[in-house]
Amino acid sequence: MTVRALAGVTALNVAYAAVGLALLFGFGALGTRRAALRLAGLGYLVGIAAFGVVWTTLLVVGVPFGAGAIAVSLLALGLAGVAAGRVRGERLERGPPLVPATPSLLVTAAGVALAGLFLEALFRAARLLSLQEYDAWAFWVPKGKAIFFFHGLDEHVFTTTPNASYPPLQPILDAAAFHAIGGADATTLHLQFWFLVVAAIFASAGLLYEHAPAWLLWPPLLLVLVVPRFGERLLAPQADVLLDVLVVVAALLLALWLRDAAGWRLAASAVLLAGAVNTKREGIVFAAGVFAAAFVASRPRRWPSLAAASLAVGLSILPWRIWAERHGISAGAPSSFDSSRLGGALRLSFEVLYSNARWSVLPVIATIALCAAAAWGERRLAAYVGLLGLLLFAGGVWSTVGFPDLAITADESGNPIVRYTGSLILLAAVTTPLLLSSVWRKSRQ
Amino acid sequence: MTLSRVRLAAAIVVVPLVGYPLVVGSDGAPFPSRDDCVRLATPGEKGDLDLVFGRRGTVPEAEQLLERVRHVGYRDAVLAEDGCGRWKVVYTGIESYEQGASSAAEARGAGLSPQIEVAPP
Repeated sequence: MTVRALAGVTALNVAYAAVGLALLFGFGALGTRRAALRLAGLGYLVGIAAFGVVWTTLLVVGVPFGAGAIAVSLLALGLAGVAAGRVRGERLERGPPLVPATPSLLVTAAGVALAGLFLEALFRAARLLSLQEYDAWAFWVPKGKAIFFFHGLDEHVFTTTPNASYPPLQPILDAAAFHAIGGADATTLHLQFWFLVVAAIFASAGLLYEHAPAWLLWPPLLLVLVVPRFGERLLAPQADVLLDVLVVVAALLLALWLRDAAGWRLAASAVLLAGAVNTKREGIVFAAGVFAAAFVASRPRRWPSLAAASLAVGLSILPWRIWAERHGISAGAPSSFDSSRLGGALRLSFEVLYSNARWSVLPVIATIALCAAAAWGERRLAAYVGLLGLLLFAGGVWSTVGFPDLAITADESGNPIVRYTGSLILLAAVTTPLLLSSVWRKSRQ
Repeated sequence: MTLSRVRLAAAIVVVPLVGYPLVVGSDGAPFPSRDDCVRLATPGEKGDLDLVFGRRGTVPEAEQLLERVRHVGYRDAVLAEDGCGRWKVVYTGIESYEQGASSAAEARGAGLSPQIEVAPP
């Protein structure tokens, strides 16, 4: 990683955040400059999701992918967001202090310092990591290189590499990073994933800080970063962490939308879920689970807007599916339902979810938080999180049952259930502060 | 009280986040350069060796060089990524440093600029 490569990839990621913030401005999310700072992490996620979804469509229709086209598309997305905001009459005021000088300021400072130290240590690894993971060198990074070198969806690479049915959002981000780096440098590419981790923490904390006290917010967020299975794969140049982050932050936005019905939360969650369905096949299952849980937990008068968001997300996957069908690539959904595998699949998913060696105490704490919120806290929130957790869990069981080739084992070379469960663990980390704070607030009333 | 709390909070954030990189950096934290992907062989080198005719930033530029190299006689020369974002034109059939030096001298006579490098792992 040269200094020039570092500067390039940093500039690209700052541009993603700026574009996402412009889109949030267009959705009416900001209001104040300090809110913009607080939501910069969410802005980054919205930026990469919007950029990836737009470029998936552009590549399908044959627009060549290059440095100039990347810059133009980012500029166009940013201007569209600003223009939409102006039309809505949005302005950025100064606003109150980001974090008031209460005693919890010190807890927030400790949380920021610990997360920052972890990220600094992660950066040291990210800048010099080699390509080790099978999926990364077998198809994720080669697809990114194909877009970089051939400026589009090279038919040979995209139809013959393993898991051809996966949509191209992650390879698009990889290819854009290669342009920013100045070459197909798979080592420096790891920094792209480092920026994603930074944004994920920033987005989660920024969204939660108004809804959970600092002493409930930071421990689960810090814990999820260092639990063995999640922490050690954060920089793998694959789409798993991206998918988990997009889905879980979208789910968090919808949890908050159930409370305040702020339209920008629904719009931002739709962009993130559109990104998720264009990232991996599981994204469709996850997005369907998020919307299904939101439908059940919301009041019927909110269903039309929820239905519109669901439809928009569903439509966003069409360009890739059309390209894939035209090239003979099947959807890759589970092909059968062998009921004799159901018991084993259930047991496997349960054991993986509550594996102390993989996720430490996080799922246990989240389960306790969920039960406490259902009993003494905000029942609507508990219903939403509980149902979403069950649907994601069921999706994992379904994949083991429906793919007869998968062994019923937690060995990751034989079954992706551990990787799949990562989304549940991240969901547990970001919803635990909300669930516990609802109990805390009710107990003080 | 409020001001001291703000100062304390700022210290909690700034001291570790600035101190950690300073401590690590004091031990040396060099940024790699593209030269790190070039390991020139020295006389007597026993490992796998390559004859590298040059590096280019893009595939078309590297293909032009490859065409020149093949025209001179190195029919088995190929393009390969060099690990630092460039493409190199390389002949991998070198058995010893002496053979490589002899080949390099011939190539220089034909106007090329080859160098003998330790092959990447």
